[in-house]
Amino acid sequence: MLKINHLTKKYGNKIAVDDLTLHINKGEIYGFIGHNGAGKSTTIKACVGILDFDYGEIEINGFSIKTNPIECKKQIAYIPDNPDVYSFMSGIDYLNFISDVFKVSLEERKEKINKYADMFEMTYALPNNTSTYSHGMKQKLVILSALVHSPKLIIMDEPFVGLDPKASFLLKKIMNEMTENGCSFFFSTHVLEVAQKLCDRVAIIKEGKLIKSGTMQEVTGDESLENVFLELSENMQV
Amino acid sequence: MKILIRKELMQILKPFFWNRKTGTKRSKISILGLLFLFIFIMLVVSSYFFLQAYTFFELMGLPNYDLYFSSFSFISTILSVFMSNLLLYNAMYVSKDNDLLLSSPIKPFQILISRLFPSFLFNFILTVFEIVPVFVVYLIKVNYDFINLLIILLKMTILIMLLPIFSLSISLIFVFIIGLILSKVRRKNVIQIILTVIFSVFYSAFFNIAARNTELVFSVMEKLESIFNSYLFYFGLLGKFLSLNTGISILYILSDIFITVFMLVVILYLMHKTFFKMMNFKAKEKKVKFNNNLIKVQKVKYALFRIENFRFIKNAIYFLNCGFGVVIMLIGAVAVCFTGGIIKNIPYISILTYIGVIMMLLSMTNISSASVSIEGNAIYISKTLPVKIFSILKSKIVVHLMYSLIPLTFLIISAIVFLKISLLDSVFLVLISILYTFFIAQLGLINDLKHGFTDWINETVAVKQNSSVMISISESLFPSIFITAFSFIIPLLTESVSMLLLIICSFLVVLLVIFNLTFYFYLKKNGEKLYLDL
Repeated sequence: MLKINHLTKKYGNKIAVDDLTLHINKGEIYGFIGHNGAGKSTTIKACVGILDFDYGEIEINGFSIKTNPIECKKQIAYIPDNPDVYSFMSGIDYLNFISDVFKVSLEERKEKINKYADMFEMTYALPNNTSTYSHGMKQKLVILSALVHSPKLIIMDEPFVGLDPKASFLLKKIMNEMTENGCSFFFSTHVLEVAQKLCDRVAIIKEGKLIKSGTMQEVTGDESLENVFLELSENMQV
Repeated sequence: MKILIRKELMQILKPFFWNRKTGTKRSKISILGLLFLFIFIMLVVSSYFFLQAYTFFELMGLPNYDLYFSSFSFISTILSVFMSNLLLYNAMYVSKDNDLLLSSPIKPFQILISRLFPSFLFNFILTVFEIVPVFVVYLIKVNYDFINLLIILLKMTILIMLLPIFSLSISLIFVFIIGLILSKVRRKNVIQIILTVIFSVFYSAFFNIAARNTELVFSVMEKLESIFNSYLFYFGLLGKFLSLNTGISILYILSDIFITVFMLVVILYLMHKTFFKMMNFKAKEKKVKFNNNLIKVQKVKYALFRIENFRFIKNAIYFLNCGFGVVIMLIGAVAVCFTGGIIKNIPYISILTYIGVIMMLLSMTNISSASVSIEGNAIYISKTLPVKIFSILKSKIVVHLMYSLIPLTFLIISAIVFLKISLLDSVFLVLISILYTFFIAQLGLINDLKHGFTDWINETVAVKQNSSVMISISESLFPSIFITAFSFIIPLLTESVSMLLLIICSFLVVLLVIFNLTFYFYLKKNGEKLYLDL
């Protein structure tokens, strides 16, 4: 589904991502873990086409993000860490806009918007201007906009930040349901307990380099993900 | 307090010294270039005031210097208030760092005072460029000796120090009213725009009607004089102080200084007391119940256009700063209906003059020059959509074109009919105006892609302190001023005026076509990369 091969990104002399290779399969939930400034957001932004990169290749379902960005973006949805949305629109206007761009039919968008807005208890807020939304409400709106066009791959940067417990639970539930239908998830998080319970596979990155990846069992064994992460990233004995 | 003021000054001055896009210091040439552009734009404002002051003097008939100075002090104040009003409101209550500063061990009053600084500085600079030409005209028209000249210059200095503070107080009153009493009104931005348009119409109408009807002018001036001696006595006192050379005039200025300081202290006290409340107040949202009728389908191109259109019309700062030319062109279209007869009898005026003036008016609309920066942090949305970036850029151009070409149509029709322009000249007028509109739209967008930034602290920064906007205005104003000025010299260069005009207009058409095609292909080739790099 998503193939990142030898991705390298430099900012001047600083190497933000160094020869990173990751493959995410169809129907998989893939966690991406690392300390602050490790290169997680850089990798994610390169995958969704926001950031250019120096070396390597990123392919989404066989299409290169560099040479065929439109085809790649048709299949993905991106949920950023900071849910900035257009403040001059209402929530429903924003969802209509995203649906228009992804060419979602009227029936499908009605079904999806009603379903997920009810689930996240956002129905009442959709006619209101997004400038009146709290951070969590904006986050929910961005999640709704990601779900409305049924993407094959959802890439998320710290998606659980700002979500209330119920919304977090719902998001996890939706993730599990969608993977059963072949949708993949690639997300970064600092909440290691969630990653351990949710992810099929995980990658740990440190200073731009991949230090460990594999299934949860392969990476953690009998230990907690937190211990493994701390040992690997900080060389700490816990 | 020093730290806060330094932060505010850094915010204003940094774009001049740092390239926000690359994060590197600008070269000396680049800094000087930007400074030159800024001064150029301010000089255009000055020249406008010079012309107004000169016209006023001519219309006055018998010298009435009290009225002269009262009127222009009043006009300068009103212009400063309207131009800094929204800037102040956003700086005070909508800045992204309000939460940070209020949660820090800083007194709210100090935050309040530091926020006034950019507005005060803006008012001060504007006042200098407005008031100096008024005094220059005065010095041209009156006789004076060396001592009187020194006194006049001293009075000018006092006025330049006093007016920005008074304008600031008035702006604060407006901000206070908007924030507190009108906070129940949802569409404050629309009210701002309407008030500004009404003011502009009356301001322009006075000078246009005055050119035709001197009796009306005299009666208006008599009324003005009585208003300045009663309700607007602040300006009446200023007028008396500025025009008299006797010691009595000190009383007038002391009165005005007292009024200014008193107003400022009172309004600052009120704002200090209501700061938290105003910052956290949310206007009541109209209750709309969600229903499936709100879910609509539109074509992708229209959806992209709609976003750009909403971004422009729903933002008063963006509209007033970058779209004011829309209003000016409509006013111009109406003005030409009444003053066409006078305009076409001005010596040496030709089709090139009309073209130059229309180009100047078009330069006041620079919607595209902030259209990328104004996206702010939400720019990631467009970058992740499965649409060509070029389509997004095209929709920005379309919005600019729409808001320029519609008022331009009215202006051109008005000009052709009331200035009785010949068929061939009309063709050139239409062609060059439309081509110049495209030129400004594409140039503005290229400037924003190259010089713009999206990490602003409030929207005012994206529009008012954006070097892209300043560069775009200068680049479009300069040729228009040159062409207008040159048009008056043509009869002095040759007797075959018609032939020379035909050659120049044809050359302009060809040049603009070349520029437009160059810009188009540049945007097509490089636009995506520049946009993604932001």
